[in-house]
Amino acid sequence: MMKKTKFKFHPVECLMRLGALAGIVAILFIFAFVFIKAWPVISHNGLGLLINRGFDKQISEAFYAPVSDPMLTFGMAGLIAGTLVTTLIALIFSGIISIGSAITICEFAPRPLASALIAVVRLMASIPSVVFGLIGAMLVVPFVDQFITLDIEKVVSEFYLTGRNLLSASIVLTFMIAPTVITLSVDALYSVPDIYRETGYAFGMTRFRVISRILLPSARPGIVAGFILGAGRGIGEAIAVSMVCGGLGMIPDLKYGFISLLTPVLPLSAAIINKSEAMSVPAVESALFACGALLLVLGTVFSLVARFLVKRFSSGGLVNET
Amino acid sequence: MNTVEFQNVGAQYGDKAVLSGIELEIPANSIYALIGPSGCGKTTLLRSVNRLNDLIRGFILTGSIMVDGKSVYSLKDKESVRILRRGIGMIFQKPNPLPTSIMKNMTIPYLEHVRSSAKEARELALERLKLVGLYNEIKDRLDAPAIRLSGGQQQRLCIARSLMLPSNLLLMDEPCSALDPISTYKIEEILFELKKERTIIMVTHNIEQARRVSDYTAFFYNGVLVESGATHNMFAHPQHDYTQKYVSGRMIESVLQEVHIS
Ligand SMILES: Nc1ncnc2c1ncn2[C@@H]1O[C@H](COP(=O)(O)OP(=O)(O)OP(=O)(O)O)[C@@H](O)[C@H]1O
Ligand SMILES: [Mg+2]
Repeated sequence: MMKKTKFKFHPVECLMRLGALAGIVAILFIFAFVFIKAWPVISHNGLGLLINRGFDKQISEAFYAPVSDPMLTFGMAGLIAGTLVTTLIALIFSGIISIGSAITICEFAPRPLASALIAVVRLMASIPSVVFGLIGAMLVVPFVDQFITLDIEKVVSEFYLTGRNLLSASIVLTFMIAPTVITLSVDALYSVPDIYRETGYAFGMTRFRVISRILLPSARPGIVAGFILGAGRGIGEAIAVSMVCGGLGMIPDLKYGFISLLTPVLPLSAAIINKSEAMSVPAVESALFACGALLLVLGTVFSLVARFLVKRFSSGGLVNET
Repeated sequence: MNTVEFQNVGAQYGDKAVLSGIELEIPANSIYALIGPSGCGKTTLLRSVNRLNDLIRGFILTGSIMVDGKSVYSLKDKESVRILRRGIGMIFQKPNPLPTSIMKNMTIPYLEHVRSSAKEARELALERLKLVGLYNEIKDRLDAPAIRLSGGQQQRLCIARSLMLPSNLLLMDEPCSALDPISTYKIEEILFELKKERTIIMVTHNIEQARRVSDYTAFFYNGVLVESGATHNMFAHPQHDYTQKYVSGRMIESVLQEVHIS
């Protein structure tokens, strides 16, 4: 019996396996290619790549270095910090917006309005990122620019501040992440069985308490999944962020509080775009591939942590296991 | 007190009338069984008592339902409705533990409404779990997900949970329909215990169960109350032809015949 099925040829199954195999090969190839290209810079700097700063200056030095004596010393701490901080802030902003919107859509809006809102949100998720960048540059940057006063410039006196900064990057990213988080949260809230709502109401709970004590905890796995996808987009987003981030690889100095949000940043992905004009120089090219390699590593670590978190969140029995 | 009185109650979903002219008095400290074929409106009537049908758009109730002499549908503000609901325990057909731990299931409704410490809530929860005979079965996994309990255990958990608030009236919608005979037996034992201090209205499709546990029975057919009264009386001397057929299980025969003819 077993043997028979083993040797039987299933064209569809074969095709599917081939597809899966091709996917794995492609991923391995991408990793290999990026790391080979990045190797000169990675091997030259070692761990220093993660710890040292000064990427902007180093790029221009590398650009003007003689071909006989290429300059390979780079430090990407600023870029890593930029990626992490922008994504984190955007996640916090979009968390507030998205959960509120999802609750409004699922629990308060009348049906027709709710479906209209969902359609708008889905549409937002499919807008190309360069459009977000454009709107960010036209609307968000001038808006943020208003907050910059002479006093603030004195505090961080080294350079001229513009509206292109960490805050703008985070705001633009927020609007790119939010649709994903909203969509998944809405799906999660809609799939909470009605019986849970009724259970809450039968205990005389108010609508607000039913939402906060019963619906949100029940929908938590779906909402967390939304945040994970959103964070993935935040880490990888390049174009839009590069248009509004200010393009300087600084580590935001949190001791300045709000002012630290007004300093320019340069996340890894935006760095690849911003500095790509200098790519004709092999050292710069290798440095940018090193940015790519870091992004790949960051993405991998992130999805592993996310999987762990999802397991943690669900093991408390907060998921409907059926 | 814990009495319930239905006065000329009618109900409709949108234009569709599902109950009419229901007159029924539920005496205190009794088990009242509501029986009747599927779709005759038993659940609708039950869920009207704690106004849970308010959640359904288009639901309209006419006549009045009095709980302890107070008209339930005259309550105007939402807070009074919530207070009413807190005083009435509700057991659903499908066990409905929340997707959290056993202990949280017990304490959530309590801590929601009673100013008290988590420790007090826990103690009361243990007491209620003992009352429904669940404590010994689950005492070493109180923090495990409630969803991992068996169906019968989940239903007993839900009964225990409904006893966390001082509810003198329990509404049960086919509480045993998803359970095996032993779990059913255990729940029936609990009902006898609960009856001492509470009034229980129970929908059931199990005629034998109605005969075993209820003091009174009401038989519904097509949205009207055909007959009601003391259970032993009704089962021994049903007044109506329909009742007679239903309690003896012969209504099924006539349905089968109808199917056969058509
Ligand atoms: N939400 C609703 N919207 C519209 N009609 C409904 C709704 N709920 C129930 N009904 C209708 O009302 C009638 C009575 O339903 P109900 O659930 O009260 O019957 P029941 O006696 O509990 O039946 P069963 O024994 O199958 O549970 C049925 O015809 C049903 O189709
Ligand atoms: Mg029913």
